[in-house]
Amino acid sequence: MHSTSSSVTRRSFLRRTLAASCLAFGSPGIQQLGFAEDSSAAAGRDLLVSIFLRGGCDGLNVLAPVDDEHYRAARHASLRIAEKGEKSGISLKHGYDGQDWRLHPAAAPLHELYAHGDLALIHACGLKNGTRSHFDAQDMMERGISDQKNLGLATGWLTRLLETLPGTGLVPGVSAAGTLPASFLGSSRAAAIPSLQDFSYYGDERQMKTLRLIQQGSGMLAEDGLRMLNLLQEIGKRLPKKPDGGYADYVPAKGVEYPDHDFSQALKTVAQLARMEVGLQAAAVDYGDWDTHTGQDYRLNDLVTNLAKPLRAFYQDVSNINQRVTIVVMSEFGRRLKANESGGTDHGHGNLMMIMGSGIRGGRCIGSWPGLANDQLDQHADLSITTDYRQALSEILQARMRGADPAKIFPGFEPGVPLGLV
Amino acid sequence: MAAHPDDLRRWVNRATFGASPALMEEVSRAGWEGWVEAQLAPDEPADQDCQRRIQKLRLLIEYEVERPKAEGGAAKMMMGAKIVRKVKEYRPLTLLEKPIEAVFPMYGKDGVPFSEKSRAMEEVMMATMLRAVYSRWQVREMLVEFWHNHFNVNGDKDESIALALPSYDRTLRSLALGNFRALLEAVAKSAAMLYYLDGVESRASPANENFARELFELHTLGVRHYLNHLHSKWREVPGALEGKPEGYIDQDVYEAARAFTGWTVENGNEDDEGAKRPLTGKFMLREAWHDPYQKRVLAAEFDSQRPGLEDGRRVLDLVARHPATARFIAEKLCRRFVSDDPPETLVTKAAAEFSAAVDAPDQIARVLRLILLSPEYREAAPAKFKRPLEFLASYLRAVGAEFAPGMGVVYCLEGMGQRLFRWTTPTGHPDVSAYWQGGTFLLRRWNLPYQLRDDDWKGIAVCHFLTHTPPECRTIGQALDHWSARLLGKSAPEKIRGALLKILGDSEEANADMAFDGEDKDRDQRLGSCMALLAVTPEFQYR
Repeated sequence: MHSTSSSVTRRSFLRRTLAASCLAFGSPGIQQLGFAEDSSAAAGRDLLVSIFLRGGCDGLNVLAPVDDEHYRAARHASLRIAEKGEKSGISLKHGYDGQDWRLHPAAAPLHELYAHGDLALIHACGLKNGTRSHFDAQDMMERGISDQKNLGLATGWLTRLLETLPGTGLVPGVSAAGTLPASFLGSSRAAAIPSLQDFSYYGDERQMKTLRLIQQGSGMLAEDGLRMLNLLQEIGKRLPKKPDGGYADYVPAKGVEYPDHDFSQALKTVAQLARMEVGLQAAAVDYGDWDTHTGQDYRLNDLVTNLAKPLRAFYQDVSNINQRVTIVVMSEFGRRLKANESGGTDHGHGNLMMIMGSGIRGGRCIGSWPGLANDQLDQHADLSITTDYRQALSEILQARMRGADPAKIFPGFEPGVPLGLV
Repeated sequence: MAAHPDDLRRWVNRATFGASPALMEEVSRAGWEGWVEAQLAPDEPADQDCQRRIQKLRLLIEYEVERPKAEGGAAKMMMGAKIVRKVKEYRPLTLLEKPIEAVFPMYGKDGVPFSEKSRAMEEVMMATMLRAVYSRWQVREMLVEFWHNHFNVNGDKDESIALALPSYDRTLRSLALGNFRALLEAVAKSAAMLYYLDGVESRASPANENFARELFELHTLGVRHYLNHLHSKWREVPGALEGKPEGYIDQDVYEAARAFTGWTVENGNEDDEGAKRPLTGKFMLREAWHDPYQKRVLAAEFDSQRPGLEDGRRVLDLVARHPATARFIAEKLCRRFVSDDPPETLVTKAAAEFSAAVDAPDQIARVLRLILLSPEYREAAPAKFKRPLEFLASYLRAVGAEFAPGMGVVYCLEGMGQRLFRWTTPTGHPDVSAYWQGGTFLLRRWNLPYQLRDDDWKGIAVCHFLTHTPPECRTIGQALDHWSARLLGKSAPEKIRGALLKILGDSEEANADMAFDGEDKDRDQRLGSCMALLAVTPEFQYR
């Protein structure tokens, strides 16, 4: 369609991107963690992993200024990060100015990455639209827009990312779920694969040929069907077999242990595909159940635990593949500053976004903190947004996804002052 | 004028879990209008066959428990071995018809194994699958599934919801064709919904907003009437000053949440005064938790200190009568029964009927009658990609299998994207084809008929294709035609006919006139393979 213009942009982005990644090589302490060096210069492709925390993660209970009087006044101690005691939050260096910034204690595995400069935290980030509807907010963020008027847009932001990237691998995009999320809406280059176990067709060769004949025709079903048949064939060739003919279990990098959890399994599938060299460039992973209207105390502890450990394992697993990997973690909105009377918090606005990758300018809280006083809040109730989620994503795409064209991926979005993520 | 059999078949397929030879005969006899009329007034005695199958089903329950600690625990520890009690039995569905007060007392009881609690949900899953395949009130079962998605709860979220499911399912079935306002209140007072959307804990103040938000967004007006991005003050909502606001804003959510404070369940918890409430799972109003002060919802003023349930019930009145709700429900019904993108003319008519019948006890039946008898319904091509349960049930109905489900079938449906009673978000499953037809969901769908064919599923779905093949089918061509007609109502699509004959004749040289012979088991297997392929043709996948 727009091949001429995009190839020009691609070249100019490539130059800028390479320059940026060279600058960023000097991140300290990486070897201590046992990660391989950033091999982006040699890598054939870059990989972006987008993790969506569905339900509205309470960013104010994951990263917060524990000495803030408004924070302390708004919530019972069980719904905020503690300053002291057994469950006190993890102190952060390079938080926002002048306050005592702490991470949720269950996020300790992520703090390791932060301390080594591989994790950047962007608070008060998100979708600037005022909606408090999960499904509207998710639909907009996954389409890369901020206005309900544009919900008719038939492609997701990851779909458009793949369209602007060079390369035609077997699986350029993957959703580690049974179906594609809206961020891959309308993509013909993404596959939905929650797990590579039992990734086979039960019919014999003759029946598979007939199945292929059935897919000859027009329309979505035929397209989807042919794509699945090709995947079955190609992935089947690459998967190591056990003596009985079944597929062997995935063996992660040495020393990496994935906890036993759905989210962990999804990340494992992404890592497995990345290592199979099927041309993976973008992955979407969902983690649900963040809608903590009640029981937030224990629920959030479990949620953060089951986010942090698998992510840490995944990060280490993919850090020595021949690709530059960037991980972004976001949620549709944050939660209300003031808790409700049933042990939870209701839908809010601004939230925490996390960016991970070797070579980013991590180990810092990025963007600006709007404060929690009544007149600093959105609608006098919720954390304001100082950073549009697309600002952070645009910078990452431009600097770390060679060939990506943020202007096409986020149509109508005018990037502001750079955050300095890379 | 009698309708053409092809038309009848298309209409039947979209209103039911699939045509079967017996159903097609019934519809031809009654005529489309007559058949629809009967379906809209179901009576239980006529559904005996299905009831009998539900009563006959035996579902496996299997778990191990540590024996309760006896006196002299030290001696046990010295033994070093775990003493367990093993349960493994095929048990009838004993919780399905019990009133909630006979099931809910398991809630919170540490001594009751989890499998005994989740059993309540599993029994509803089994009955749902049996009804899809065998109930003669097919239209009602389609609607029950519709309402379970519209008023989605997730039995995995908390054991209370699993325990409340038999009662919740009965509520939705009894009101599926009834009055929407009555259905809405029954749902709002159900233990399943009160636990799922946290109403059970909601007290003044601040109230818990979870239920109130989804009530507006998903149960009634719909998110397209959430005007928060345009209006932050209620007076600015178009129509508000005339008492007819076009939509809702966050302030309506806050105020409605206050109206429902105190709507909770007899769950055995202690009152603030230390007295124990009964443990029945039944609805109760907890006065001390209710926020009694004045409110404003959808531009209507609520006086302070009104008695008991009045605030909440008034919110339900307002949303159930709102024109946006008529439109929202009408559109969803049309999407379910006609197409992903239903004709505007039909949605408008259905919404008008919904509003006109707003006080009628058979409001929903009236709307559905209008849809099923409309020219738009009759003309629509089969463009709805079958949901996994529809796919499974329609296949079993067409081939006349003996079906006795187990939990394995539930996991199979989940592999295809349909999580019966375990969908996590309050949206329910998406009702558009694109969701079901890509990725691994499609692969699992291709594989399902093989599972039905192969030995590991015998006992769950017994289909002896060969036994059901009429003796006059002597050639493979005749056998194929017979089974294509059973499944598709016509012969196999031309482009795969030759390939299917090769499978049926087990030879690359096969042609239609070749004798259909070989060992019975082998022939049965070959017929099953052909059916596995016919079942995944677009001709069978769309309804």
